[in-house]
Parts: sequence; C-alpha cells; structure tokens
Amino acid sequence: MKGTKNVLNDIRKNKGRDKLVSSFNIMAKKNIRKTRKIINDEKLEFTTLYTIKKELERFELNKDLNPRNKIALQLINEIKDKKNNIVTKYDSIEHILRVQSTIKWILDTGLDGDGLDNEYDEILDFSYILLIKVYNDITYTPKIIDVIFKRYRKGYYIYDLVWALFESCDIDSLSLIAKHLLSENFKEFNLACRLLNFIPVIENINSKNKRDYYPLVIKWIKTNSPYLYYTGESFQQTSRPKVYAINMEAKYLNKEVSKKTGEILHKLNKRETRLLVEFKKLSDYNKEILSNYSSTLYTNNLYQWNNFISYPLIKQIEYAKKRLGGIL
Amino acid sequence: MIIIAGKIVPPNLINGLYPSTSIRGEMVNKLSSSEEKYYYDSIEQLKFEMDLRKNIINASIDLYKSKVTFRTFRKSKCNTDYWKRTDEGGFILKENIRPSRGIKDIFLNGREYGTECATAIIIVYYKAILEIFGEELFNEVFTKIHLMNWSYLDRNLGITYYRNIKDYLPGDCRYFKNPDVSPKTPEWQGENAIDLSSGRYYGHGIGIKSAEDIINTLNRYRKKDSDTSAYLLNSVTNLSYKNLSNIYLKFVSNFQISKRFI
Repeated sequence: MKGTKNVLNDIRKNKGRDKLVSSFNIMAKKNIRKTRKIINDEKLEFTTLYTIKKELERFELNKDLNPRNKIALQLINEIKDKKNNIVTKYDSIEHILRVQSTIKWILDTGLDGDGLDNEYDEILDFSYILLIKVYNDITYTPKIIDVIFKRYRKGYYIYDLVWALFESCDIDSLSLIAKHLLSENFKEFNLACRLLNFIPVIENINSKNKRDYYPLVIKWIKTNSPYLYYTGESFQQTSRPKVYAINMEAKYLNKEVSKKTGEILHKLNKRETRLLVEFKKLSDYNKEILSNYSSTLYTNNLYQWNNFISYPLIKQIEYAKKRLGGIL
Repeated sequence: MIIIAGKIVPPNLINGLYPSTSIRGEMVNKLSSSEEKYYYDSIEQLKFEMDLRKNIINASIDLYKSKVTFRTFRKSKCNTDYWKRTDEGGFILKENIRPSRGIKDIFLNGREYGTECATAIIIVYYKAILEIFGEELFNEVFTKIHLMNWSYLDRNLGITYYRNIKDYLPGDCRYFKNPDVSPKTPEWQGENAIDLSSGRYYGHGIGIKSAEDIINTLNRYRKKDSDTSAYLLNSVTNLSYKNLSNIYLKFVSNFQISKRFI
C-alpha cells in the first residue's frame, strides 16, 4: 500500500462517516483479506480506525490488527474502563516505545478530526496527557495550542488539554499562546488573556489596545523565561490561575531555574549564597525592584553588573530605585 | 482583629455576639483573636458574613445528601427541564426558568445531575445565598446562571482566590492538590472542598471527610508507584461577603422604607 492513498481515509473524507461504515461493510463481506490489508496499511488514519471500530468487532478483525491498531483500540477501552491497564502497564521497553509511537500516530492523524464526538475528543485528550505525563514529549505543543483555541471558539471542553499543556512546563508554549492575543475573534483573545494571566501587563490589555500591548507581552516572556517556573495552579482550582511565577532570587542572580521545581539549576558559589541570604530578608517590593534591575543590567552591561552586585544590598536597592525611577 | 467602621472592636465585646460553642461564635472568636485585620463597614455586614458562611456549610451538607453524582465534564448531566447542558459540559439555566427554581431543583432532584467538584462549590454558593436573599432578591440579582467550574462566574458573587492565607474559617473553600495524579484521571488532579468546621470538609465526589481522608482518597488516583502525596494548599476561595451584604442590606432597607409607606 506504500505510496498510495488509503481508500478508507478517502471515503471518510469525501463522503462522510456513515458512508465509510457502509462501504467498509461491503468491502469486508466481499474480500476480508484485502480489507485486513487496508486496515493495517500504515497510511490508515486514526479517525478512520475510530469510525469503523464497531465493524472491526463485528467482522472479528481485531485479532488480525497490527500492533499500532491494537494499541489504539486498547487505549479507547482504557478510557471506558479506567481500571483496565493493558496499554499503560509499561512492562517492557519495546511496549513503551510502541505505545509512544501509537500515541503520536493518533495525534498526527487524529487531531484534524477533533470535534467528531465527545468520546473521540476524550481519546485525543488522553493521548496528549500520556505523551506529556509519561513520555515528557513536548513536540506537540503548537498543534495542541491550536486545538485548544479552536475548541474554545466552538464552545467545546478544553480544560484537560490546558492542564496537560501547562504540566509539560514547555516555556515555548507561552509565546505561541500570546499570538492569539492578536486574534480578531474575541473568545480567542479572551482565552489567551486567561491563560497568560500571570503576566502583569495582561491586566491592562483589551481588544482595542492589544496590538500595542502584544510586543510588551512577548518582551516580558523573553526577559523572564529563564526565571519562570510552573506553579501547578489550574482552572480546576481557580478562575484565574497564575500558572507560572518568577523566581526572584534567580532573576536577581541571573541564574536559570528548573521549570518544574523553580529551583536554581546551577550550583551557587559562596558569594552568591551570601547574597541570597540577605535578599530573602527583603520585602516583596524590594525583591522585585532589585531583581528587575539586576536582570536588565546583566543583559545590557556585564561589567557594570559585576560592580553593582559587589555593593552592599542597601546600596544596590538605592541604585536600582534611582535607575528604574520606580517603574517596574 | 475585627475593625468595624474604622474602630477596633475588642474581643470581649464582639465575642458575646454568638454562643462561643456555635459555628458563628467559633468564627467570630477566630477573627477577633487574629493578628490579621478584618474590616467591616457595620456590625450587620459582619453578621451577614457569619450567616452566609453558616449557610455555605448547610448547603454543602444538603448537596452531599442530594444524590448529585460526581461526573467529569464530558459526562456531566442535568435536569433538562430547567437547565441546558453545554457542549463544554456546563449547565445554563433555561430562559423561562426562575433562577431560584433552577438551583432548588438540583437539591430536590439530585439524581438528575452529575458534575465535577468546582461546579459543585458554585452550586453550594448559590443555594447558600438563596437561603439568605430569599427568592425575590435572588432572582433579581442572579438573572442568568451558567454553571461550569470556576468559569462564567456572576460578578455579583465576587469569587476570589486568595494565596498564602493565615486564618481559615468554616465556609472557606479549600483546595487539596494531587500533583502526581494518574494521567487516566485528570479529574482527580485536586479537590475543592468546603471547610465545615471541626476538621471536616465537603468535597463533591469524595464526601464529608477529614483532611487526611480526602488526601488518602486523592492518593488512590495517583500514578502507579508514586510516592508524592496529595496535600492541602494554604489558599482559600471565597465569595465577596462585602458585596453580597451590601446588596442584601440595601434590599432590606428599601423593603422596610416601602413597608412604612404602605
């Protein structure tokens, strides 16, 4: 079947789901061997497999399926019966890798069919959650963000995908979400604001000034990315979760943090450790001023920053306040 | 400490407001003995908050008894005589239905309904407010109701999430977080629960339990072999008691004035 299109995919795309089911029935009755070959064809799309899953049972074709198709159908069953864990038992490397490639196939060939029905969308959600939580695979971030916004526009359920997206701790997702601030669709714009609620300038943004504010949002993300960490807050917890927060100590010392834990990734030397002991005693306001100034200076003039950081903390604060003019 | 109309009210004065063993008494004692400052415009405003908190507790117990089931948004259900189920899994009150009737039906015909824990909290809030406001005011203030986790909240509710709280009171909505939840059950990533006092909490789908029991339940939905336990966050979600009391007290005062003229 290599190099050619899959006939079942074509029927579904051109003539619809009902026609696919009826054509499959005719095909299976006529030539079961050929049908088996077409189902196991590598070009078969998940949406097609999903549509004919009952027919596969009817013609007792399940036992003849290739591992990809078998795992995909087992995943569907695991969603129905959550105690069932044939797929998610992870008992061998081979099985783990096979499940991962099946999940990727589901997403690669199934995301276009999002919105087919509730069960179908749940399978896509589950597949993405597995990919993030089990495989730490963040390659689908852009596609999933698109699906989230498309669903939100249509009024479909998004919260499991949103949760998994943020659980991935993929910082690149932020600028991809921010692009939707420019959308002419108000719902889309509104969702982007809700998801990026932790960025201070978002409070001032509205549909009229969004073009002016968008570059500020992008700048904020770029400036703070090394110091941002995932807080674990979700829409199940609050209407306005602050999904990411800045590690002020890291920003002050210009050290990158772990997105998952917020801990500084590099080992601190004695001087840095001493500085942090003093920094921790400051008010939140002073911490913010100092970390903002330190980070800006570090980026613009490393020589001056080295001088600045050698001053006593009180002098550093005075200096930062003068230079920043109280503007954060 | 409690500050009413700009003046600190000494604990000995305010603590006599309710019997010390009552829930309201326990709450007032806690506020007045706290190092934090709690501001009220009037004693009526303070009393309103205490009454509403008590009603939140009662409504939680009522919802627990109502047989409303726990269901994910994808499988949520509602009584379609009163509510329209949205594609997202939330419920919108039908146009010709009085809001008070819609809320009451959830408690009367609980078996017809199924939803997640956050939506259950909003239902509890509406019922608690309805009990204080009465039908007339409730229907006037909450003309459109959309129940769907913490989304589409009516501004009059003034629901706010507070982080790093020092004092916790009965009627607070707390959050138990389950950081290592199984990928199969994202609905158990955490549990919103109402503090019922005496160390008991109501969490929809879990029931009325101690914090430890709620944590143990959530832990059963963790990833296989996980050793990271669920835990109670030091945050709370609350209604805007001030805004709601202003609405109520204004209504009561107008009612009394109009009564005088009859």
